[in-house]
Amino acid sequence: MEHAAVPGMTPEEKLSQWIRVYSDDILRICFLYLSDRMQAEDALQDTWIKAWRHMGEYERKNILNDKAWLMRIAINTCRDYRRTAWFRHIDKRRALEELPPRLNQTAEDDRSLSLAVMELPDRYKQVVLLYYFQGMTQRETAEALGLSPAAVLRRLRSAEALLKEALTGGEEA
Amino acid sequence: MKDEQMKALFREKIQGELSGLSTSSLQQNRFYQNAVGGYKVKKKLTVGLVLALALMLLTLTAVAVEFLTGMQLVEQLAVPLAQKNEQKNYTHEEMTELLRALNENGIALDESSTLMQAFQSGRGYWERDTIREICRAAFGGTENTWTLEQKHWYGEMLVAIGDWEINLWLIPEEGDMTKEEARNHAAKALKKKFGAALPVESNENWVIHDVFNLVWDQETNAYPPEKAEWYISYINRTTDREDFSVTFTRQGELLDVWKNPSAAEAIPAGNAAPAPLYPQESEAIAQYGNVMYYWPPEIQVQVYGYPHAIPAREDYEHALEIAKKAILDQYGPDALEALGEYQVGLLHTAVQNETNGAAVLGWDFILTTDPEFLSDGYRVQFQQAPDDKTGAETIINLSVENANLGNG
Repeated sequence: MEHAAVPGMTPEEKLSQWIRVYSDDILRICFLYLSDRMQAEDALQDTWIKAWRHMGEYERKNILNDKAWLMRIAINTCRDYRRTAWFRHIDKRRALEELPPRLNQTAEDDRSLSLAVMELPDRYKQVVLLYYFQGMTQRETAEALGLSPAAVLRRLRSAEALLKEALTGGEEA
Repeated sequence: MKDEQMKALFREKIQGELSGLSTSSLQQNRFYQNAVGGYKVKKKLTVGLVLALALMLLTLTAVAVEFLTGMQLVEQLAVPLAQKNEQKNYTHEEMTELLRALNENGIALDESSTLMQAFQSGRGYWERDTIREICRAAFGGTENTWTLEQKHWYGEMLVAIGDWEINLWLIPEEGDMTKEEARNHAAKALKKKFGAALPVESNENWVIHDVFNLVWDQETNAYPPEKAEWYISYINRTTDREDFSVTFTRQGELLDVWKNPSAAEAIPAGNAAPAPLYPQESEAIAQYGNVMYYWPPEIQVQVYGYPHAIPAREDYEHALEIAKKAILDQYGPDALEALGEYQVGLLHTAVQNETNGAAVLGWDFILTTDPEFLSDGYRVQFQQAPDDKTGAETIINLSVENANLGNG
């Protein structure tokens, strides 16, 4: 896996490397999941705290795919955050508008895909974020979410249909 | 289209859309320190905040009055203003009225908050978030730490301004467990599962947070009242960490009884003391301060490597003039003068254009009187590259930001 921690690193070095390499990706995943920047930053911090506390488990189980492991922690953290149900009421379009400007701003400030992903039901959002955004395989996505690969595939296909509907208004692109 | 191509396109588009959402190296440093050492994030103490703290320390009565005043201000001013306004945000004038009233009642909002930044730059702000900030100032903590009554009242305010359709925060009704019964239920579950003897009132070791709220049901697309849930959590005062939590239904059916691995179990031996994140970076921070913009360019290069670069003196002076002109163009001729004795910080990069081999210089200037917190001033970013045809200097990707530039 790209950026995998180098064997023989101390736990501190591993955590340092992960924070530097994965923070932005995890922050964006958390934002897409929670639709709230402040909460996404809190979830990112919690992800690192949990990763550190479970470093022993990571070492004992000799986990090879550190990215999948971290993403699983992040997704679970976001899922816990969603237990406070008022997240449901967050205005997602507004959350996007409040983000800092894009680095490579094009003429049209288009965040339609992000909005469409944020509007997906949680069960579809999870697979889309891991499979498409994180580039995991079906098997890795299944492992991260505790699902069967077949279930992941089914959810992906449903999510794709919903995204297509959201982005094209039901018309063929 | 093949799945791998789809993935690449998807990722590229989302990354582009969210490219403004990123973490700074200082934030990353803080994440690390918080993870391994329980380091507390340094809060900026403003004059207003110090004053508010001093007032709060005067007498307990004063505290109670202040809490009431915060609630009264929301009920009597913030909500009516929001109801009168058809938008979801307060105008700058409405914000001025609100902040004046808060100030007169001794309630100070965090001056580094996005709300205050927006206000100070002449803009309005979202109604929901403004009310949340007032409540946080009045009650202390965040929504999760508030009492059931405070949460419920806050929910009522959000319903009143049309932000929520129904109030999700509940207070127990007849037939529900009381808060004390719910805590007892949680403590028993934790005792049974983990053998942990936990109190039912916050004490010198534990802070107990209670949540009783409606839960979204994905099957019915609704918040069925019968599926409301309790969530009781125990925060360890020593580590400020949630160590136990219990979730159960309104009827008492346990859904989740959870224990955080204790510090002794979770932190491998020898890792208790936080280690420096990156030795070279830590040395630079110790010598030159937190903000890398003020480090000598050779130190930036040494710590961060390519594409950081050491600018030639004349290039630096020329680029600084471009930056100042950009500020003047955007914020008017008095912008820098109003700032006073500002300092200049810089991150400088140099890369080679892959197509024509020309050097592309990146400039990222900070002009501020507050290098520690970057609470004022301007940030100017641009690139210099020779024109493909004429070779003349061109400025690309120029951007100017003001106010709080974010120190994590």
